[in-house]
Amino acid sequence: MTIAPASKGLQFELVEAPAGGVAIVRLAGTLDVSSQQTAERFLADLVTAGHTRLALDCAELSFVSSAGLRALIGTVKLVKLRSGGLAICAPQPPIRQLVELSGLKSLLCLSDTVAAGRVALGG
Amino acid sequence: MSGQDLAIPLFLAALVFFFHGLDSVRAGLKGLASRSVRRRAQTLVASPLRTALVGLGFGAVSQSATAVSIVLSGLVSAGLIPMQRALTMVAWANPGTAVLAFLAAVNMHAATLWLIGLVGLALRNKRLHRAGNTLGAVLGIGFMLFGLVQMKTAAAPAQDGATYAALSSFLGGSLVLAFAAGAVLRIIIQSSSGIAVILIALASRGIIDPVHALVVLHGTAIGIGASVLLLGRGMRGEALRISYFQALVNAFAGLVLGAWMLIADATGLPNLIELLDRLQLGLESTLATGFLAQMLLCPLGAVLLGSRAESLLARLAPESEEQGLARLRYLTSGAAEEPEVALDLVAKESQRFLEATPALLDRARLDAAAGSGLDAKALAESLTTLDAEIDGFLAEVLEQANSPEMTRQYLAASDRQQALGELATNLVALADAVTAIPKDSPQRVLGGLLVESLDTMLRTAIDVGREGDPLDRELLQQMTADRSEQMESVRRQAATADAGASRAQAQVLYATSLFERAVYLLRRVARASSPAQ
Repeated sequence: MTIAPASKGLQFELVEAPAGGVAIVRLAGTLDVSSQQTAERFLADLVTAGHTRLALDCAELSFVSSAGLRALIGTVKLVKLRSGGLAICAPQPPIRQLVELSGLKSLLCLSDTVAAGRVALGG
Repeated sequence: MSGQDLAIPLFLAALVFFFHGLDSVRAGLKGLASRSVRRRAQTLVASPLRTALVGLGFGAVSQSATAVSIVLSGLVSAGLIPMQRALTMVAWANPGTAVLAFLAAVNMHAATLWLIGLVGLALRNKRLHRAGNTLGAVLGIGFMLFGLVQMKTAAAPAQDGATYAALSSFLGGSLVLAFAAGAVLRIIIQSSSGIAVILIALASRGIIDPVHALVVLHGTAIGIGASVLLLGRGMRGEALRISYFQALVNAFAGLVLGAWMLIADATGLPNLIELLDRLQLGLESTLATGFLAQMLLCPLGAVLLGSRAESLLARLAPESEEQGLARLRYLTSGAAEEPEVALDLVAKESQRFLEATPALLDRARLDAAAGSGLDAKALAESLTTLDAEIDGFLAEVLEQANSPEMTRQYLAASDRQQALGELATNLVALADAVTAIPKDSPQRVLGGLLVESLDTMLRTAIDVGREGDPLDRELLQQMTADRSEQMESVRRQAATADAGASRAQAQVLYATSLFERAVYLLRRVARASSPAQ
């Protein structure tokens, strides 16, 4: 496991990262303007390290704002360039609703569980 | 009823005619201030002498240096004339307003009635509809003059009245009191030339002596500054700076002449009235000339301030970021001459407009730390101004489009800007609706989510405008797809949820409609800016 330096309000945990497989990242806390840049950097580093299929376990993520959503969109654009994908797994209802209201349901591949997300990404 | 019984109501009615006429003149001038007329204003300020003459004429026609200031602030903020020229024009507008004081000295009764009769009838002629603004302004002048004449008639029997004797006694007391009375009168009546004609009417009937009448007039110059301080809170940017300038040059004029009158009174030196009496102009013309002398000190004050005026005014009324947004950055005065280049500049100006829109939602954001710090109301006003300027520019350039393809491109740009303008209004309404929902209600969370998602869409649209990345374009298209079914579902869920406060329910349902419209407008903006356009 790799634990990234915590940003105020957001913690990351790289749960598993099998070579050529789907990397699972657990997010906890809030993904907003204060944690946007840290999240973008962490996820971008993972992508450039070769992890182009990312399943984000959001069960413990309590809040995502527009800034957080843009960090996720930025990551999706990176992985799409590398023929990869990103799945938002087990999001809490407000986060699910935010993604749906933003018209990003298919882009961010909303999944009820991490296992479903892994399957959706072809893992 | 005796003449004395009718004096007060006649005087009041005369005041109404006078100020109604003044309002008509101002409204008529405002109607003439289309962008094409304003652009022609540029040629009028080609030289300092021409600028001064235009200021003089403008002041004479409008009879209000304040009205001149307001029109000029629009020209400056649109970049059509430099601030220095605007200040020169305002300074010279002041002596222009003295024309009315001279008219008050002349028997205009018959001429006034002819003017009102002929112009009023002309206005009823449908064939002269296009000249409506001009005729309205001229009729306004007629009403002003009519009011003037009636004021003098009203004052006629007042000499022997006890009420007017008391007024005369009050105004005929200390010169300092007269000066202060002038300042207070200006705050109430908001027209120095209006006060001048009232005082001339009263002095012509012996109700007030000419020295005190003139000192009251000098006091009105200070009243201008007090008015700006009291009423200037609603003004910003160029309008406030020009108002401060007007206050400064008038304060200079009022203090110089007021001090002269006080020193002359204390020392026995000749005062301005005594000097003017030697010209044997008659009482009314003497007072009008005294008022003109005061107004002529305004351009002198401007000359003394010189090039320091702009930096001083910038310190007194610094421009905020919101005010800066109202000013055109790319669409300069010469841009309309080259339609091919102008289209790119319009795109930049529209992009600038779009980049400011997320801040309209700040107060309704769930992510409070993401706010821009801008004042929402000031920002909304600035964007309204900027929208009008861009629209006006597009209308102007469209007239010069020299091919069907260019016309099509400009129509697309116009459609885009129209959608942007409506979007800005919509965003303000959405922020209002969401902030009206009580903070502790579940509906507030839904309202906040609508705002956060719209913020995401706006910023994606901004990225598309900046970089034109095909991925972003595709993303924006996806995000702004039709939402009617989704919103219907959200509304159904919101309506069947825990009823709680019905007001919160109603507000969030309204917010969903505004959200749906905002998404539609953003889709229109995206479509109008796509490469296929």
